[in-house]
Amino acid sequence: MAGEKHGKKTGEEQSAIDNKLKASLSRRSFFKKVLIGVAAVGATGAIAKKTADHLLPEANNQQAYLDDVLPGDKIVASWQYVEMKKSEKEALVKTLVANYREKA
Amino acid sequence: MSDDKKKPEETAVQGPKEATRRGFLRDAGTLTAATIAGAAALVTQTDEAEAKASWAEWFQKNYRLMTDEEKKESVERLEKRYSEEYGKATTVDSSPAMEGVLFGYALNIQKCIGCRRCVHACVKENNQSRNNPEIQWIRVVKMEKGNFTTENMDKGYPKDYGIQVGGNAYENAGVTLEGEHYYTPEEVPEKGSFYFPMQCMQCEKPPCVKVCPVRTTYREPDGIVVIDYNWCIGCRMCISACPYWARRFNWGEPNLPQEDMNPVTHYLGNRPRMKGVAEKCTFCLQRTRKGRYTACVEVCPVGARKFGNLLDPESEVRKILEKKRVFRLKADLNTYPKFFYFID
Repeated sequence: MAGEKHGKKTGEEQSAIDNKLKASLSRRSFFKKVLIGVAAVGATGAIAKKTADHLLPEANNQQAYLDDVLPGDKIVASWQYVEMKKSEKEALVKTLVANYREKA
Repeated sequence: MSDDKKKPEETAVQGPKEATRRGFLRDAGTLTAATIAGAAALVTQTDEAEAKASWAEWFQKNYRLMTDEEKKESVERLEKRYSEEYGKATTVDSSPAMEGVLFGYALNIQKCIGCRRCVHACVKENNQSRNNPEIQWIRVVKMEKGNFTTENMDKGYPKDYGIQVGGNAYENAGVTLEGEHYYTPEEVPEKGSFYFPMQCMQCEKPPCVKVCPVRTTYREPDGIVVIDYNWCIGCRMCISACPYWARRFNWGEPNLPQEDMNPVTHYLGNRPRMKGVAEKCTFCLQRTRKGRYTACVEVCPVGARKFGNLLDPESEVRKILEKKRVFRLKADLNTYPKFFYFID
């Protein structure tokens, strides 16, 4: 403590710092960290996959497609046909032609 | 001198020395060089079409913003990939819209016999997924025949105030409110049924285009609403927005057998799609931009389907609009569909 007070470290403290620096820079410690990292990532991945497999059933693409499409059948079938009057037809053609010219 | 015998000052100096700017830049440089070398190796591989496509396609621009050169490169890349994948010489056309053409479609609902040849011709022509899922762009809804007459449309209203259901609460003047498009009769037309084909209406003011957050779907000058499949993010906004239920989504990797693949494709049309993108009818633009009819028009055995240029007063579609009784669907939405239904 006295050493700290005076801004100097005791031999014991300095040796601890030295050991730490040595440890963090040594090849052994590097491989240890790599190993732990790989194991951690692997374990996380495995747990995530197990959880996903359990929670998400295998995708049934055909069913998903039908769920998209089939509700439309009833809706489409319930629509009313609206007959266009002559004036409406003429106006529509006029609009389409004008729209094309405007964009061209 | 062994590590144990190093003086504290030496060790303390050696630690930070490892993390110099020079060292960092050297490491960063090595990493960058390795990444570039890896990417280059992947891109320049001649035998892995898939790898090539994934790199180059992932980083390509929105088709509309590409230069002619970039479009050419993209098309060539796809042609090579599809040719390798499907084992046949595949062409990917990129022809733009023709000048002075605005495509329109008319369908005679009196004539349709519900054979669904159009559905299958469309699947074949446009390289749709064959199974799991089986995707179809055209749906032919079978409906029960009612006494559908325009004279009856205004009948059946309650005389006094009350709830009105579709204006025909008390007298059925139209169709029953059921429909199905997976019908499998022995022969068509079935007695007491009529058929109602539906597909993309190529709206003049398409709601699907308005909602697309990445502008991957847009209206071409010839009126066809197209999709750049490579730019689609699969958000399904367009599918929700389409009032005609005309868009389809690739929930899984499309299943297109090599032998069934149509090798004559267009970048914005029938080229093979991928998982997670929307697709729909494009009026067979790979055909129509070359002056041909759509596959569904060609195959219809009763001539119920008509196709032509709305800007040409002599075209079949314009004549139909002029002379026939024409119907629109969901006219109230002001989407201006260019797909019309008519009766003689």
